[in-house]
Order: sequence, then structure tokens, then C-alpha cells
Amino acid sequence: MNRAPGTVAGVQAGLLLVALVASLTVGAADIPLRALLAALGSGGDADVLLILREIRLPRALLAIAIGAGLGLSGAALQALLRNPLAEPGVVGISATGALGAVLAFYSGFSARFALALPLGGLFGALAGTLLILRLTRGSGASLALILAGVILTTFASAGTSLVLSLAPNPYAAYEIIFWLMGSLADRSLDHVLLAVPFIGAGVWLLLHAARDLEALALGEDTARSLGVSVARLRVQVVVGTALAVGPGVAVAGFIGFVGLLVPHALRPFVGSRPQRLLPQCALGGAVLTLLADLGCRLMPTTGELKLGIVTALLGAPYFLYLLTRERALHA
Amino acid sequence: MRAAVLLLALASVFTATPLAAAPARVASINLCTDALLFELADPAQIASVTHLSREPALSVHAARAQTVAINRGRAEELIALNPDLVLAGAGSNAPTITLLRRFGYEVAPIATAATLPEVIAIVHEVGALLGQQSRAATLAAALAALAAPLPPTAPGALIVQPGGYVPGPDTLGPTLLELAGLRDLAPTFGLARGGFASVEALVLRQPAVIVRGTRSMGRALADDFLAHPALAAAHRARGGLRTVAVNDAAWACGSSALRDAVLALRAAVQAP
Repeated sequence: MNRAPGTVAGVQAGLLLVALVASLTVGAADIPLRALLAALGSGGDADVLLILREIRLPRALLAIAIGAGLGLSGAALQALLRNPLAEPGVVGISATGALGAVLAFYSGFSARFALALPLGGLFGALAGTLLILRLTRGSGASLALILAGVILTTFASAGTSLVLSLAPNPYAAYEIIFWLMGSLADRSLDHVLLAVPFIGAGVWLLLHAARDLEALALGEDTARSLGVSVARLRVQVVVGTALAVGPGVAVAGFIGFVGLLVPHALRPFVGSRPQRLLPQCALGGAVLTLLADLGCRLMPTTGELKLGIVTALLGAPYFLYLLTRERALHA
Repeated sequence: MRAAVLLLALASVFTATPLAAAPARVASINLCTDALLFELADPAQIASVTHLSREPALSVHAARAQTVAINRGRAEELIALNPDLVLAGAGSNAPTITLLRRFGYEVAPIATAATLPEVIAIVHEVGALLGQQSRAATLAAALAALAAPLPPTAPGALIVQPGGYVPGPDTLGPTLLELAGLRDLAPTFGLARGGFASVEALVLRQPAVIVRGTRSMGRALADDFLAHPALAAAHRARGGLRTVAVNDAAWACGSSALRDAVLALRAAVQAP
């Protein structure tokens, strides 16, 4: 039941637009819709315009960019590792990215050199991606990948908690939950500028890997005979994933399961061919993350719910379902 | 001769009666009782204060605390120290207080002050315990002189601590604002009991003055809360949200430092 990719993209773009408008209208301050619309015209309330421009818009832009990076890198990792359970969160890349960012921030390095924060996330994610490839080399088995991911995530999260507990600032220990659960609350245009260029570069690299990933689906030997350099493709996906995931983690913390949910939700509509699937996953990741972030703001919790909690609540049951289904297939 | 010995023995019994004499060696196991001990006791009376008092971000007496023995509030340390009196926080040291009393130590649990009358009452109470009533009266009078009616035109203000935390009425925060001639806007933010403010609410309701702390130890994301560019933009556009820094440690406890904090805040608000 593969629909025309254009139709699917159109539906997703429509959803994205609706989610974008919704996330501009919902926030910590209750501002009536009429005041919001008036602020966009001339003579509206300057403070309301400021809230839209400096608080809600950056937040939505970050959700879109981070979500696109996560959705796309999930699809690319699944194609490269030929494993349907691969995802930056599950395999430990987000956790190592968070550790890198935490080291850059709490050491005070990022206070002197702002780019140290996204670069810390980038190098952390890069280290995680290289480790996961090394740990699973030669084995496309789900169990090996998931165990390696669990170990990497556990170790990196423990490292993050340790760094935050050792930090001299008493508030740092309370920030463990931000780094391990992720949030876009009170982020600003500064964070957009720090993260989005990197994520954009990663998205570009991954989208340009789609054709070779498609050849790889036929097997490494076939891919080689089609003129694909598998080693170069691997480097391209590794660097692309680190760029698409790490700097996002550095400004918003660990947001899991987006890269798992999105490709699986879209395959029934656009099929498994990477050239079709990958661009749709970038769009789908943006839609899902923006909607999840909207959910954080709408939940009647005291204080705002963390974004990673919403995506984990959606993603973890789905992961379990995939796992049992895969076991049934191999039984 | 025998009568003289008996008389001497009797005299020594009387001088040893605890009610009659000021305690010679006093230990404190709470940051706020540390401050009162420094301000009211004779230096020779101070046996030990908490390690927190040596931290400049937490205590205005950090320099003096370097020269005094410190404790971490554990019963074992205090038993080894064998003080005549232990000053403790009524709310925060309950298990230690029980344990020390079981060992026969004199322990005075001191309440946490949240209003000026409470501060003054506690200064008198601790002064009496230390046998330093006249010093306590002087400090109490200086604090009482801070009281002033809040003018109806008082500018609205909000204390914003790291992460956007607004202290509630269980702290001296609201008292600090009132004594400095500022109207506490926490209730209009829905934070009458304390809690976290959002950047959006700050931009929308724009308190004239934001009172923040002066120092921080190392880095934390929480410290970046007031650095959100929307706040600077709102300040430029409308002139509200003027940020004034006051040492948190000075108003954390009801002691003479509260007076310094109030005067510093008054001066900062009146400065152009």
C-alpha cells in the first residue's frame, strides 16, 4: 500500500504546519489567541510579540531540527546496520552525546567558548557511534546491538550523573534529569544558532547517503559491484548521525525513541527503500518531536513534563512490540 | 576550718549551676545559628560551627569561620567536642538533637525566622542562651529600625533564584523585599507559596525589579535562567525587569547580615 511519496510528504507537511501553529499558541503564559494574532499585526502588544519571537518560535524551531535529525538518523542507522531496532537513543549515541555536552558545560569551557557546547555533544555522539559500530562489527544480530546499546547508554548516563554530582554548583545535581530526559523549556534563539547549523549539515550528509544505503540493502558485495564504497558510506553515516544528534542533545538533552518510532510508522506508507524513506523520516521526526513537545506543555503537571518522558512513553511500548514481533518471526 | 571547707564546697556547687552561668563553649550545627553565634557570642565562647559557614557563597562570616573549628553536624563529632551548649536548627537537625540529648547534652533547637518580628525574637532568644543579652538587644534594635510602612507606590519586585525559583513565605525573601520598600509580586505570578517562574510570565508581567543572587559556585544550567535573551529584549523595550544583585547569603538567615541586605537593596533600587 505504498502511496505516492508526494502525498505522504504533503500530509506530513500539513501536520507539521498545524503542530507549529499550535506550539506557538501554547506556552507557560496563558495568552488568548486574539492577543497572539493582534501581536502579529501592527499595534499589538510588544511583549506578546517578544514571547512569540524569542521563546516560542526558537522552541518550535529546535523541536523541528532536533526531531528531523533524530528521525533521519534512526532510518539511516537501521539501513546501515541492517537492523530494525537501531536508533540513536537505543544504541547509546544520544547518551554519549549528553556526556560530551555535560563535560563541555560544567567544566566551564562552554562559558568561554560558546561552540564548545555543541562540539562537546558532537564528539560525544561521534565516539558513541564509532563504539557501537566496533562493538557490533560483523554481527547484524539484534541482541548484540541492543546489549551494546544498553551498556553504552548505562555507562554514559552514569558518567553524566557522576560529572553533575561532582560539579561544585549545588544546582548541577538537579540537572541530571534535564540531561537524561531532555527538555526544550526556555530555550532561546542562541540555542537554535548553536545547534541547527550542525544538525543541518548532518541531515544533508545523511540524505546524500540514501542512494548508497539503498545499494547496501542488496548486500555489501552487490553494493561494491554497483560502485559503492562501503567504507566511505559508513564514515558518511557515522559523521552524519553524530552531527544530526550530538549538538541537539547538547542544547535539549536526551530525547529517545524518535528515530525508532518514525521510520517504522512511515514504512507502511512509503516502503523501505532508503531514497524514499529517509527524507520522509526527517519530516516525520520533526512532526513527532514538535507534537511531543506540545504534549509536555499541555500535561496538567506541576512544572513542565520533560520531553524525553513523552517520547519514551510512546516509544518504549512500541520497541517492546517490535522486539516480540521479531522474536515471533525468528521462532 | 571544717565550716570553711563546707562553705567552699557549697560555693563551687552554686557556681556550677547551669542557669547561673553563660555556657563557656558553644557549638552550632546549623548555618543560621552559626551566624548568630558569630554575631552574639564572645569569640572564646565559639567551640565549633558548620563547614557551610566557610563557604563564601553561603555565609557572610566565611572569613571568620576559617579560624574556628568546624563540624558537619554529626553527633559523633559533637560528643568528641563536648560543648556546654549546642545550637541547632529546629526543623533540620531533629535526629541529631534527639541523639545528643540522649547523651545528656544541652541542645537548643532554634526556629527558622521568616518575618522581622520572628528574627528579633530569635536574636533575643539566642542572646539569652549565650548570656549575651545586651549584644542581642543592640542587634535587635538595629533590625527593628528597618521596619517601615510600604508606600502604595512601591515598585513591584520578584526575587528570582537560579532556575527561576521564587522563594516563598517560609523564607525571608518576601520580608527582604518589603523592608527594602518593594512590593513582592510572587502572588501575582501564582507563586504565593514559592515555586518556579517562567521566562514567558516574566516578560508578560514585567516586575520593575528582579532581585538575583550575587555569586555562584561553578556552572549550572540553572544560572542561565535570567540570561534568556527575551528578558534583555523586554528590558530594552519597556525598561522593566531591572536586575539588581543582592548577596543571597546575607538574607538567608535572620541575623545582622539581613540589615546589610536590606540597605544594599534599598541603595541599588534608588540608584539611577
